[in-house]
Parts: sequence; structure tokens; C-alpha cells
Amino acid sequence: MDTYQTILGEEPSEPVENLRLTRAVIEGWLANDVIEKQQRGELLASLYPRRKRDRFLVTCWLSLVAVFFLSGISAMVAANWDHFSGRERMSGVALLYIALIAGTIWKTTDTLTGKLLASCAGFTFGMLLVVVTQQYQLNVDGVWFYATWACGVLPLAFVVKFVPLWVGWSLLLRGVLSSCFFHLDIDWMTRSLAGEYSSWSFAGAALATLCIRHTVLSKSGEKAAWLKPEWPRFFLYLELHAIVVGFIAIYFADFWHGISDGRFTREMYWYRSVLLPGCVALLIGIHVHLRRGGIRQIWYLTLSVLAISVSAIIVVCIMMFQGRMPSEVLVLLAAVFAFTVFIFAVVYVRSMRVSMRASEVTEEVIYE
Amino acid sequence: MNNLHSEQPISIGDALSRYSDKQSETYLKGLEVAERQREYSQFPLYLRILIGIGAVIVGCLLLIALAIADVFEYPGFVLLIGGSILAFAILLYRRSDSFGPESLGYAILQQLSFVGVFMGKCMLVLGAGELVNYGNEAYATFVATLGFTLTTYWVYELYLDRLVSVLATLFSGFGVIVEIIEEALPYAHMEEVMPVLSLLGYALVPVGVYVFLNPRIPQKYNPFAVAAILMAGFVSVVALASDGVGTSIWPLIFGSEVFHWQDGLSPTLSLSGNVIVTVTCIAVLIWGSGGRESMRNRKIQFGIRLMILVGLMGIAPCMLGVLVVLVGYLTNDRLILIAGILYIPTTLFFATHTLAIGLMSGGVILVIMACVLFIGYLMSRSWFNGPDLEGTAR
Repeated sequence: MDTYQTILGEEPSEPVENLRLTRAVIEGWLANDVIEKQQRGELLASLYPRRKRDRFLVTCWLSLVAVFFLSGISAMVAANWDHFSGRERMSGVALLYIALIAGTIWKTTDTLTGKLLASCAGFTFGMLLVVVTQQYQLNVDGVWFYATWACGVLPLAFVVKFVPLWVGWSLLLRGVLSSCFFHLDIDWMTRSLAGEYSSWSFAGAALATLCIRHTVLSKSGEKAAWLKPEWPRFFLYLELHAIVVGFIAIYFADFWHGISDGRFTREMYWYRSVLLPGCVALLIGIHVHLRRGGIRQIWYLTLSVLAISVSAIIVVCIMMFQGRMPSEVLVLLAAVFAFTVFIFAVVYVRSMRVSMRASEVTEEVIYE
Repeated sequence: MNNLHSEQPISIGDALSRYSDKQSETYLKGLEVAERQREYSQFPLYLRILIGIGAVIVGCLLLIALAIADVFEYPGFVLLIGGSILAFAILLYRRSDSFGPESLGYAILQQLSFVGVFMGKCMLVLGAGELVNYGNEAYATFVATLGFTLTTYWVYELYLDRLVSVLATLFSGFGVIVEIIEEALPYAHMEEVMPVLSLLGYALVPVGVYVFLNPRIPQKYNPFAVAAILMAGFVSVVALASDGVGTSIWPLIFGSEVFHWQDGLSPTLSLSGNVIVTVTCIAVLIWGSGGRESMRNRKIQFGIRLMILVGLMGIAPCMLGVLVVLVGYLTNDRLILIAGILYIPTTLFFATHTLAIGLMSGGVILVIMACVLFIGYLMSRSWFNGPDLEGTAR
């Protein structure tokens, strides 16, 4: 019926009468002689109201024209790129940037077209930077490049208030942060720290973004309605959980090998002894925070439970395997442990779902 | 009749009550037909994902344990164990129905069953690949994937499991086709093989669309249809990116000074993808407009002509994206619609980055496609404001 709904599963179970009419149902009725051909035509007319259908058709049609045309022109420009002088290249990209900004102002930032034009302008700003640095052979490093690009996009993102543009800006910020520690990657003694420091900065950025989003939404209310879509928030939580689970695995392995080899006091970095419990506390803290969110947070809660389960399995595997090739019995025991952990995880999430839904219903009754 | 044309979505119950009484046999039959079409799992996706990830982790650990115990040294034994585990997993899955979805027994049996299915499938593929002689692995893998797909498709009522199984079977099937071509033409290069592969990939498009749209085919075959279209989409993009297959060959008439083209690319095979996708697009357009009678409508006739022009002069994977958008819109399927919308820029990226056809050729073809579409829009613009013409079902 609906692929998305079929994959997602149904919750709660609605009577079939209340479900939205779809074409597949109408065709099914005709095939099973529930309705006649003329009635099918009438139902199809109500399913695709003419005004809505024409609006959709025209939007798709013109979007296709624009997308094909712009792709074609960009390919032709790329094919002849070597024939342009440096000045022509720079002025061409700069003109495109100005045109996109003008288009944004013309269409206003309240319309989707204006928002898309502003997003394209943000991308074109990066192209302009590439062309300028190539032309004058500035030989800039990654931090300078990404930071300038991010600074150029930031005013646009503030004005336009468009979630995809902010997601793009967040990616640029990740580029800046990872470039900051690039110099550590050159020396073999500090190479391991490059990944660790950039991961911490990513986690910090994700946490800060979540806090800012939460504050803005609670203070500005409907004015910040554009921030309400949940998918960027879910990705931020996903990033945060992935990094924290990775840190728990690395720090615990260090900790455990330090204890078992007796090198703990000599080689353990001081901050790791603080950060391991810190990571665990962060994981549990996020879980407690999400538990208070009610049934709407069930996807986040599942993510949190998954992260805790995986961390627990990793910790037990590190303790059992002792950094050596394990025997088949040990791996079998680890599998049994993992199975038990996931059974508990499923039962826990299911019980949370039931209790959250019950409390939601109670709240609704109270506020009615 | 005015409320029939309102922009608010109507429910199944409202639609049925327009033509039959709520107590009548027709009304109940209508509900039954609609009920048959929804095969939603009562177990929500987040719990299924949790169980699925758990099953993969546990399954991987168990496979590692078997590998350490040198079980994989005996392929016949691996096949036997894999088959037994799969059979046991199916049995457990059937048994789990006797428990309520909220009980602990249900969760344990489901988890065990998923672990078994994951392990069984992996062991069947690994065992089959090891059992046969060198050079025949592709055949063995195909037989194993086909075997487990046929065994589990009708048992596990899980959309994603069905989709992944069918996709794996199709992938291994294409591996077999590559093997056959390599055996028949030992000195053939990949650019000679790719057009044949892409032709087979495009051949999946009408099959997938037919299964997806036909109301007489049960909903449980939708994953097969989606897998077929996904496979076609993948093969068409790979063929376009690597060898420029799927682009119309008309720019060749301008000579090679401006247009660069992949040497040895067969124009007939390259165009066959365009023909298949265009014909499917036209068939879907006619079906969506209400059947053969709608062909009397001038709008539909114009749409068919435009599609022939754009389809045969353009890039087949881009048209495949348009087809997916059309199917998604006509079936009110948001995910398919979004997938089509995302697929179009993907194909455009490959069309403008493949060196097989050259940037200039790709760019000119895209601009021509845009111009044809825009001229078509200008010619038909007044129709969007005028009264509906006779002939369509609506």
C-alpha cells in the first residue's frame, strides 16, 4: 500500500476504514468487482484533484527542465574550462554567486525557491574560493579553506533559516575541526591523537548543536518552527552515540591492557582515566534525558539502548579475549552474552513503549 | 459531487460509503480487499532494527566461533549445517506466532530465528562457494542465494528481508551472466560486456513496474518489484558511468571533433535501454490516465509524443528516475516518489562526470532534453488553465 508505512510497521493499529484512500485500493476494488469503471474514474478524480495534480505536474516539469539545463551547461563549461582565462573563471563564478543572491532576494527567504537559491549560493561561494586559490596559487591549508567557506555561508544560513543549509554548514564545521588536528597526523608519535582529538571535537560540536537547538526551540517557540524537523537531530544523536561507543571501546581496551600488563600507572594518560567514566556517564545521561521525552522519543531511546548494549558487549569481549586470539568456547560465550543483552534491550524498549504510551494517554485525559 | 473534488484526502470508509451501504456485502468486500492490501507488521521498525542488529552481531560471533573451530574447512558440512540452521530458524519463526507479540517468549524466538536466518544464509553462500571447483563460484553462490530466497520469501513477512534476499539473488544472477559471457568470449573487455548487462538490467524495469502496479498481484511481491527496479537503477548507473551505455547516440553524426565517444560502444545496445524505459514510461502514463480509452485525450497523446522525443534523445537512467517519480505519484507512495526524486540528480552526476561519453556530449544531450521539455511545456501551458478534455477516466 505505502512502502514507507510497510517498512515502518503500523503503530497503533488503525481500522482499515480510517486509512487514507490510495490508488492501489481503488484498482483492487475494480479488479474484485467492488466498484465499476465509472466509479473508479470518479474516485481517481477525488484522489488526484485537478488543481493539485496540475500544480504537481508543472512543478515537476519545470524542475526537470531546470535540472537538465543546469547540469548540461555545467558539463559544457567544465569541458571548456581550460580555454577560459583566470579572470574569466573568477568573474564567471562570482557572477553566478551574485545572481543566486539576487534570486534569493527576489524570491524572498520565505519561499522554498529562495531557500534553495541561497543554498546554491553557499555552495557557489566554495567554488569561488577554489577558483581564487587556484588562480593566485595561494597554497592554503585545509583549516583556512574550510573556515573561510564556513564563515561565508554562516550569514546566509542565519538569514535563510533552512535546515538543509544548516546541515551543510555543520559538515563544513566538521571539515574545519578535522583540519585543525591534521598537523598531528604527520608525525607518527602523535598520529593516534589526531583521530581522537577530531572525534572529541565532533562530539562537542554535536552536543553543542543539540543544546543550542533545544534552547532556541524552548525560548522562541513558533518563531523557530523551521528547526522542528527531527531528522537532523536524529543524525546528531547517531553521531554522538557512535563516537562515545568508539571511545568507550578504545579507552576500556587501554585500561584493561594496562591493568593486565601492570603498565597502568606508567602508560595510562591521566585524561583517559577521567574520560572513560566520563563517556559512560555521558551515555547514561543521554539515556536518562531521552527517557523523559515520552513516546515521541522512542526512536532516540532505541538508539541509546543500542549504544549501551553494543558498549556492554565490547567491554565484555575485551575482558574475555585479553587482546589475544580467543578460543571457540570464549567466542561462543561472548555470543551467548550478546544474545542475552539484546533480549533484555528489546524487552526494555518494549516495556518503555508501553509505559510511555500509557502515561501519554493519561496526560491527554488530564489536559482534556 | 463537489466534495469528490475537494483537496482533502479521503478515507477508505468514506469512499466506500459513497457507492454502498455500510451494512451491505459490497462495503464489507471492499474493506476486505483493502485489508488484504495492508501487510503492515505489528512489530514496529525500531524494535525490528534492534533485533536485526542483535542478530547480526550474535550471528557474526557464532560464525567466528565456527571458523576458529575449523568448521569451514569442510564445505559439505558447512552446507549441511547452514541448511539445518535455516530450517530450524523457519520453524522457530512459525512457532513464535503462538506467543503474543508482547511476551518474552516471542522476543526470544524472534531473535533466535533471525540469528538462525542470518547464519544459515551466510553458511549456505560460503559453503556453496567453497564446495565447487575454481571458476564456478558464481554459479554456486547464485544457486545458494536463490535457494534461501525461495525458502524464506513466503515465510518471513518482513519487507526488508525479502528486499535484501531478492537483491542478493539478482546480484549473484548478474555475476553468473558475467561468468557466462566471459566463458563465451574469453578475450572480451568489460566495455563489450557492459552493454549486454545493462540490457538485462533495463529488462527488469518493465517486470518490476508491472508487478508493483498490477492490483491482482498480492502486496507481498512488492519487495521483488522494488528489488528489480533497484537492480535496474544500479546496473544502468554503473553502465552509464563506466562505458556511457544508455545515452542516445545521435551526437555521433556531428563527428568526433566535438564529441568524444567510447570506442566499441554498440549503438543498438546503448539505445535499447532508452527504448525499454521510454516504452515503460508510456505504458505507465496510459495506465495512470485511466487505461486505453485515455489515449483519445489530446493531453495524453501529447505526453506520449513528448516522452518518445525526450526518452529516445536523452539519457536512459535519467528517464528511469522520471519513471520512478511517475510510479510513486500514481500509487501515492511517498518513499518511491522521494527515491525517484533523489535518483534523478544521482544519474545526472554520473552523466556529467563519465569520461566515456565526454563532458561536451553529455552536456549537449542534457541541454537538448531540457529544451524539448521546455518547448513541450510552452506548447501545453494553456491546458493547465483550460477545462479538462474528454477521454480520460477523470
